[in-house]
Amino acid sequence: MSKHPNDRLSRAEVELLLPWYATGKVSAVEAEEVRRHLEANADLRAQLLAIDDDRLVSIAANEDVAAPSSGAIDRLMDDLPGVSKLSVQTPATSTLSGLLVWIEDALRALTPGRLGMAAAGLVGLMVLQAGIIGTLVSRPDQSGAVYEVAGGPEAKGVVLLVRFVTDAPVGEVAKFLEANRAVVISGPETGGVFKVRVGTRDLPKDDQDQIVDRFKEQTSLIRMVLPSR
Amino acid sequence: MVDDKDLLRRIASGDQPAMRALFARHHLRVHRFVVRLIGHEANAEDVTNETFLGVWRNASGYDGRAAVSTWVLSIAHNKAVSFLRKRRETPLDEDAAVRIADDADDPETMASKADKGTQIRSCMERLSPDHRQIIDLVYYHEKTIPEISDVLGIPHGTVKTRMFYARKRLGEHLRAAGVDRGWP
Repeated sequence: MSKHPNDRLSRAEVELLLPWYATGKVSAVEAEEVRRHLEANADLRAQLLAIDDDRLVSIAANEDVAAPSSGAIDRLMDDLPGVSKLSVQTPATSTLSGLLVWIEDALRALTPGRLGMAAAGLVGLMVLQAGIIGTLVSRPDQSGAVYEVAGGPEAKGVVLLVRFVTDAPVGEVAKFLEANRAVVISGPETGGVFKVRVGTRDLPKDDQDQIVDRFKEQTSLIRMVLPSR
Repeated sequence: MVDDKDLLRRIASGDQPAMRALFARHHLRVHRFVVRLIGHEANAEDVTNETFLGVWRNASGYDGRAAVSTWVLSIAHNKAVSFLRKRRETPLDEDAAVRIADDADDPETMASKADKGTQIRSCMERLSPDHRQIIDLVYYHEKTIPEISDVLGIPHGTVKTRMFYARKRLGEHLRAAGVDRGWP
């Protein structure tokens, strides 16, 4: 490969930076250089594909870890040094400013869940109809568009982490999702990961596995799928 | 929205609702970070609480240089490493031994699993804790090189090479399981 006059990074340095390029955590100048190397090197492009796969697996593995028990915060407040047990403040007795922070955060957490499934489906389809999948999985330094369309702790259904094939026809993807009563609930995250909810009720593990298998069979549309909490 | 740095300033002056708010924002990611490192959910809950006790005690020492989430993860890292050091001094309990055996499939078992995602996951679980941890910091926590350097207390160059060798090792495990991704 002939060296671009503005290049400062060697190929080896680009290889080291690839994971951070994949998550959009390099500078604009570095990203431009990495892009030039990617255009010229098929093996770097293969590494980037592998990185995107690994990223989805890492996210799924972390999301598999259950939240700590609901009493954790109360135990922590009880253990705070320098705080008398009698004076431990709950939201009901806290200062106004602290209470506002608490309420604000709680509301932010709840808002997406208030969207109905119909609305979620509509927006999910709008996301998919906005262009081909490839345009939605561009790197964060190129697009930055992230959709949060439904979800929330009270929403039910089977949630999957999905990476679509980059040049999958949008119409086919939309048709497949509709046929499986699936909606896009968030994404694309960096690396082109979407969260997809299937159905509206919780299912036993065997049924969930069948849904995952159904998605895996769609190799012309879906590059990888993993269950998510 | 009150940002994390404001919350820490309030915590430094003993504001308990601010502590609750910071905990609500960050505890799940911290808990996952700890579980993935020490591999035991019940113990991880204690380590996570220890981490936030550390936040309460040291909030006034936070210098604002790093993002609060990075600073909290650096405390969690130190607490988890201390926990692991202590655990090494005590015999492995039977439950933990069973879990370790369950988590690490042998290459034949992995080869029989056709799905690539499952195979990558099995191979990731076989990585050393250092390699698994840096992969999570990059991919799940989406930390930059300087941020990971802060969390782990290692130079930027080491962050990059550790991630490189983690990827390389993962590729080697996968190749042994019959998945050739063309690299390394």
